[in-house]
Amino acid sequence: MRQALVRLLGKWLVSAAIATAPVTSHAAGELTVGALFGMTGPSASYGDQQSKGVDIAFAEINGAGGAGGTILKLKIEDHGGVALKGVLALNKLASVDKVPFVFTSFTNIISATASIGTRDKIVMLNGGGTAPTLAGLSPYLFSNVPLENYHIRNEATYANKKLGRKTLGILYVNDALGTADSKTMEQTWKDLGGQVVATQAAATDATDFTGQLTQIWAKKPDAIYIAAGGQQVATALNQKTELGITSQILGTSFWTIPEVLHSAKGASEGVIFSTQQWDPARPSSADAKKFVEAFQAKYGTQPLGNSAAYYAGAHILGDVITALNQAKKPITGPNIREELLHHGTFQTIFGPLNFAPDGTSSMPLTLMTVKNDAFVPVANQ
Amino acid sequence: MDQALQLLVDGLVEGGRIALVAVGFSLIYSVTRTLHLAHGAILTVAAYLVWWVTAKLGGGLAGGFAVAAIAVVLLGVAHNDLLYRRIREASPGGFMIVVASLATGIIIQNLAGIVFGFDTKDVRTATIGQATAGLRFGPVVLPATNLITLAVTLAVFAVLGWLLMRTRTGKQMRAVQDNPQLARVVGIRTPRVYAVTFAIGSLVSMPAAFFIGLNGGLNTTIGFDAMLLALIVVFAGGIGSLMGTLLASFAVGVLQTMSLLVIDSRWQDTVTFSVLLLLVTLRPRGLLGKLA
Repeated sequence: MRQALVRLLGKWLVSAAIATAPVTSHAAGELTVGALFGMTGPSASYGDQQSKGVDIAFAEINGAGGAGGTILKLKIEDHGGVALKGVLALNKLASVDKVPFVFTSFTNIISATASIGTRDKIVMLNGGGTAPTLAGLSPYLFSNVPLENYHIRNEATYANKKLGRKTLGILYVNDALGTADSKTMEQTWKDLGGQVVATQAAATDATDFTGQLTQIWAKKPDAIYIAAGGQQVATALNQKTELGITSQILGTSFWTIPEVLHSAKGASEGVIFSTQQWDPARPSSADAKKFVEAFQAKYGTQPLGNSAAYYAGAHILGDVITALNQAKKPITGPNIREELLHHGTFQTIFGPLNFAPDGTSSMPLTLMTVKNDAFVPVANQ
Repeated sequence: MDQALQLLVDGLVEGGRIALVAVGFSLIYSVTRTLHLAHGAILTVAAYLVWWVTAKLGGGLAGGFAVAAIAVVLLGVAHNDLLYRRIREASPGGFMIVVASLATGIIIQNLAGIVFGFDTKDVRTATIGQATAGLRFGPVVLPATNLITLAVTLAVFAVLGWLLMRTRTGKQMRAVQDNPQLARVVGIRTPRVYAVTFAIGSLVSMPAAFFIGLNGGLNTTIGFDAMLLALIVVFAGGIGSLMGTLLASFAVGVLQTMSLLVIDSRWQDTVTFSVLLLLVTLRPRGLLGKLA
């Protein structure tokens, strides 16, 4: 009787362990992955675009029978741009939903949640956070977008060498991304022989930049670099225009958002920023064209860079799951990580992509500007 | 020098926005002794209604402000009549009112998000169009929206000052503020005065959230965020002093921008709040002391 009880208990424990392990977090032939997106708050447009990119990709993958037979499902958790909410969201995805993989976004969210991903062996694929400090932050963190240091060098070189701007003012939002971007730009600009004449910070929830812009404009810099995103970009650009500031404005890679075109209508004309090569009006490949058409058919508008980045990320996940299924390996965080590192080249709508051991990736960049209320590559002006 | 002048004007505009939030809160607190923290959330609803009527219904700015005015008056009076009055009767002392006010403020804020969406609304483009170069007064540039903000702020304080000093309703409000028991003895109906105070207090602050949204976009938290500064300004200016509230608001605004001349902008809030702390420590009654 006692032995039978022990055997029963043993079986129950084994069953319970299997039931709670991430490897069996999905039904056979179906995989739920998580997403940490900013769906509310001042940066909600990022989450909206990012989720749409994943949505289109998953529809394509599942429509073709799944990734090696596995149907992909997405569970979105909102971080609202707030680090604490991001931590709660990833903990929930880890402990309740037991996902082996999440799409993640925003530098401050990634910085706050990276240790959770490491602890629970959840692969975090970032298509939106771009601070240089994200490189090597966790063995489970991968970025399928170039980090901001690549973009800063790209646009700073253009502004300094090609446009002949020599003095620079910097306005940054005092968060993890803004601080890292500001420091990187300052060093890069100096390396190029330029002079940084003014640097001003603004609070993370700032809605008024006139004081900082006034201080910067007092030095009459040839160019002003604004390290901010979401509605804050539009606010800063509008206030720049109202104050009559005529410096060349340089932005960040995450400026391909509706706010720059619509909320800062007129004020954003002529800004220059670097981003991964993406021009929905002129798709560079058949896959890119297919994505643009599918996006336009479903949402009635052209996909911006943010949607494209997460579309590419979702297809990278699809390729990884397909490879694991073909190799008959269980779909776990560690196996996804190994496959990302050793898969070789991923073919994306931005071009070929390889992950470095520190989780970063590089790809061709392009300089964008705003002309007649539309994002246009600088070369196509 | 030019730079300092520009920062001074920018600071006055910022002070105007703070003053508009603070004035209604100050009036309500000084007359009814109610720490009406939901004031900020009610103002947020007003801004959403202005945006919604203007951008979505095509009712124009005037239509938007008319709808918002009705809504804030109803919400303010409802808070007093349906919530605070019962708590005052059941639990004198005020602490439960703070809890209730905080709770309804958060509920209203979240309901606004559910109804209008949690994304940031572009108030500027929807209501007044794209940004244009500001008006130039010598070395100072003043955007039209900032000029209007200042003008509305001063007009609101002037009208409220007149109302309190010159009208029968205002005199009754001041009487209740000085001594509610005595006011009752001489025949003033204090419940009515409370209701009128909530209505006027909500109404005079109504433009605040709109101007804040116009400046930096509208989201569900802007009213509550603005309340933090307004709360401090009301106490720093002196409870019951309209002029004190106005002066303290301008002082905070100017301090925030002028401090950029001498310190790193990352220390802006530290300097502002240190000076305010110093003020309330050295002068606990605030800058000025009595209503108007």
